[in-house]
Amino acid sequence: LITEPTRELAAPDLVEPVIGFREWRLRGDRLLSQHTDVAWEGETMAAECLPGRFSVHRGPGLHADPSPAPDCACGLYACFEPYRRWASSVDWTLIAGAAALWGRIQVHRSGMRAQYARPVVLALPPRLPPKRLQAAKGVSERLGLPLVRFEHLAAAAEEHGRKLPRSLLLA
Amino acid sequence: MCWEIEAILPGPSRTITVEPIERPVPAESPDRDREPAREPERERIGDPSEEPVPA
Repeated sequence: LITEPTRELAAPDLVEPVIGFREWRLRGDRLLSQHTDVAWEGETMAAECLPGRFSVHRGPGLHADPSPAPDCACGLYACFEPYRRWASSVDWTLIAGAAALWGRIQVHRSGMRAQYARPVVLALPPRLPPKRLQAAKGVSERLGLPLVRFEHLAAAAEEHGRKLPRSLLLA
Repeated sequence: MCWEIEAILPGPSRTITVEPIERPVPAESPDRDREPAREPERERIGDPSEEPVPA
C-alpha cells in the first residue's frame, strides 16, 4: 500500500506537462481568473490555498500540504477537454484557452486542480465583435500566446504537453 | 459562471505528480530573453481581502 507521504518520494507519474483547458476573464489586455481576478501574465502560476468565501475547504483551516490538497478546493483549475458550450462562446468577456500544468495535480472526474500552470494557447469563438477581437489579439500579442480558432485549440495545445493519459483518469 | 468548481468539484480525486524534464516555455514569447524572470503569480481560492496566514 502506497500512502500519500511516501508518494511524494516516488517517481513522477509523468515527465512532461499535462494540457488542460479553461476560460479566463478578458479585461483590457489582461487575462484574469474568473473567481479571484488574479492576473495570468504568461509566467508560471503557483497555486495557493486561502480559505475564504469562495473556498469549499472542508478542514479546520489552512492545510499543511502544498496546494492543491486532496480535501480542499484550492489549485489551478482546468478541464480535460475544451467544450463548445463553454460560457466564452456567448459571453465575450471570457476567453477560452489551454494551459500547461505540472507539479502536484488532483485529478477529478471532469477536470484537474494543479500546483503550477502556464497559459499556452488562446482560442477565438466563432463570432466575436471587432472590439472583443481586438482585445483578444492584444492579450495574445502582449503575452506571446498563439491565438487560434476554437476548433484548432486542442491541436495547438498539444504542442506544449500531453493530455492526461487514460491510465491516470479516475476509474 | 462558476463552471470550474461546479464541473470539477465535489467528488473523489487522485493525486499525481508531474515533473517536466524541461519546464514549459511559450514558443514565441518576444520578451522572454529581455525581461528578468518574475516571481510566480499566485492564484488564490478565497477572499482576496484576507491576509495570508504564515505557515
